[in-house]
Formats: sequence, C-alpha cells, structure tokens
Amino acid sequence: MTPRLSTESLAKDFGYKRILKDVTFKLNPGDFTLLLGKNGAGKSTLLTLLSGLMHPSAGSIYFEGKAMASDPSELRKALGFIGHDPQVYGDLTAKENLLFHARLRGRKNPNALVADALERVGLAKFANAQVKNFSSGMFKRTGIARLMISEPRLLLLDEPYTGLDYKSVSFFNDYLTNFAQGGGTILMVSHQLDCCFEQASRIAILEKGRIDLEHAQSEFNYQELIDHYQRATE
Amino acid sequence: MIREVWTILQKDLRLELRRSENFIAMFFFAFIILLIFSFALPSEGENHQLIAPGVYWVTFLLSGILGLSKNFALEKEMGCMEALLISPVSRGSIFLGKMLGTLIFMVLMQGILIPVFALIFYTPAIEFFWDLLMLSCATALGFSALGTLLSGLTTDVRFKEILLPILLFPLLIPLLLASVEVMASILAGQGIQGELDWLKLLIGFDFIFLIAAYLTFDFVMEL
Repeated sequence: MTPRLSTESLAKDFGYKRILKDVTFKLNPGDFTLLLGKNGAGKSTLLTLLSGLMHPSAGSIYFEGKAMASDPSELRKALGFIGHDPQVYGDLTAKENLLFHARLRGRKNPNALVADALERVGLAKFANAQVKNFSSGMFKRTGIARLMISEPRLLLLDEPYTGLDYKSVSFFNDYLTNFAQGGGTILMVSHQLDCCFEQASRIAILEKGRIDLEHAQSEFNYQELIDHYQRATE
Repeated sequence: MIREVWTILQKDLRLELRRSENFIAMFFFAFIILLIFSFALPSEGENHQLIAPGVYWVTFLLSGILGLSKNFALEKEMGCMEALLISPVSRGSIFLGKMLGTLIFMVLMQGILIPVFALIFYTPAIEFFWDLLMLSCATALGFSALGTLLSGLTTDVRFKEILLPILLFPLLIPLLLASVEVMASILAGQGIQGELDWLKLLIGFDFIFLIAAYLTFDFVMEL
C-alpha cells in the first residue's frame, strides 16, 4: 500500500542549529498518529514542513508516493491543517470566513456546507458574529468547521485541543475517529494525552530531532507513557 | 483561476470596507500632503502650474504606500496567510486577487483626490476628470503590481514599513516620470495622447511589471 505521507531522512536547520535530524516515517490511510515530545523538540517544525509551508534543509517528503518538492498541489488539495494561529479574519463573521475557504476550494453548495459545519461545531448561533470577539475555544471550533468543509484526506493538527471544553473535545474526537475509520490520515501534536490517547492508533515520540519511539497505541501502557513523557519533558 | 481571484478579491474588499479607517487615513494623509505642498511652494505664477503634476504623483506614492503596507499585514494577523498558502490555490491567483484589491482602492482614492487637487492647486483637473482618472488607473496598475510583489516579499521582514518604500520608490521612478509628463499634457489641454511616448512607457511599465510580478510571486512566497 502506498503510504499517504512519508518522509526520508528529513532535516531542518535554523541558522547553525539542526532542529530535526534524519526523521523517517510513514503514515498510511487510516492511521491516527499522536506525536509527542518536549517543548522545542521540533514537533511544530515537523508539521510545518509536512504542510509545505517550509522547505526542509535535507531529505524528502512524499505525499501518496509523489515527491512534494516537485508537485505540492495534490497535498494542498488533500490537506487540513490546524496550527497555533486561529487562521481566521477577525473582521469577517464565522460564516464569511468559512464561505471564503469553501469557495477557495471550489466546494459545491458552499452555503449549505458552511451552515452544516457551523451547526455541527455548535457555532450556528454565532454564524453572523465577527470572529474577533470569539474566545480561544470558539476559534478552535471555527478551525474544526474549516476542516469539515475542506473534506481533507490528511490532517496535520498542532495542539488542537487547546481551549476546547469537554463537550467540544468529545465531539472533535468523534470526528477524528470517523475520519480515520473512513481512510483519512491524522498526525497530531498534543500535550493533552488524556484527550487523545484512546483515539490514537499509533504513538511516536520525537526526541533530540529524531523519532525516538514509534509503536501501535495498544503497545503502550498509558501510565508508562505518561512516566516516559514526564521524564522526557523534565 | 477566475473563481480563486474573485474569492480573494471579494474577501479583501469586504475586509477593507469593514476597516474603512484605513481608507479614511490614506485620504486625510494625501489631503495633508497636498496642503503642505501648497503652503511650501510658490502659490502664484507659472511655476505653480508646472510643479502641480509632480506634487500630485508624489502625494499618490506617499499615500499609496500606507495602503500597501497593510496589504499582507491583514493576512498575517491571525495566521491567515498559512491557511491561504496551504489551500489549493495558485500563488498567481493570490497575487492577482490582492493586486486587484489594491488597484480598486487606489483608483477610488484618486477619484476623490482629483477634485481636492483641483481646488488646492487651482488646476483645471475637474475639467479633465475622466482623462486623469484613466491615467490614475494606468499608474495605479503598475504601482499595485510592483507594490503587491514587494509587500509580499517584505511581509516577514523586520522594519518592513521602512524597507518597502526603500525598495519600491526607486523602481517606480519610470512610472512616476511618465505619469507626471502625461498629467502635464492633460492639464495643458492636449489630452492623454499629448505625450504619446511617455504614455507608451507607462503602459509598457504596467505590462512588464504585471507579468514579472505574477510569474515571480510564487518564488517570493516561498522565501
């Protein structure tokens, strides 16, 4: 099976400092991989590289078997990304923000798609409110709605649970589980293990710029993982 | 491609309308520059009429740079540029959408500024309003094309507010020279074709920089 996303000896330098060294892994359709690591390990840098927003200093990234450096267009069509920033225009309403992305992606019947996504994330009554007045949780929910209308095949998620309340976490996890079961691929960076440990199918730990451990989630004991994680972040 | 450009343009126009203070600030800045020039320069005689076109286009450049520097700042505010760059939209469409947004606001600004200029500098600008507006469109096109490219280039750079005019103004000198000459010809009653060679230079500048900026924007965004 062709992996959805794979890397070969990926490296990234910032100035003279090598943040990522020889990162090699594969993500298959249906994989929900949780990427752990202490602050500054290079997790967000790795996601930024994989999204195509930054070029690697060495190594290659392949999307569905094609080198991303030569043709990033397929990845862009298939990618859903939640980063550190909310990625919304503060002066536009939630509906206008989502319509913009739906139209940019050429979605058919964008009004119905957006209305449905806002309903599902619980923002229907704030559809016509300017997002600059939103809370951080509402920003995240707008981001989740954006993922829904993008109809992606690959999700790169950087700390997606930040600011989400219990109900929203539960809803988001259901969405991610269904997405992975439908053949979608997820690579998520999160420090909130309690929110996503059960949902993940694989767990990888990034340490000193390399993937240190990578196993199926079932091979990890939650408490051992917490202990390992605590030691790594000390 | 047309859908992508229109979607980006529509979004930019909506944002500019919601932040109308940008446009109002640009207009008042231009108005104040015109006033300062009218006080600082000799107010009577032939010289006043001779320097009026130069004053007008310097005002255009200085107020225009205010709008340009905001062009990509909006995209950067909440990480929207990331979302735009990872969407399946060509960099060329992003360039055209943003360039057209700037062009429309620059032309609107000129539409208001021409009568103000006529009043302050006692020029027959209102009489030749449509000729001057056509000239403004041509000048604003070159300004927006080059300005959008350089605004994209400097968006992540420290001191971008200073760097943008330092890079942009020298490159705009041919455009400025041509616009001054053609405007002088219009105000002298010879029409837009009165200085045909300068008009050709102006159109050539627009054509070259529009294509060059469109083709290189992809590379600029990757930097």
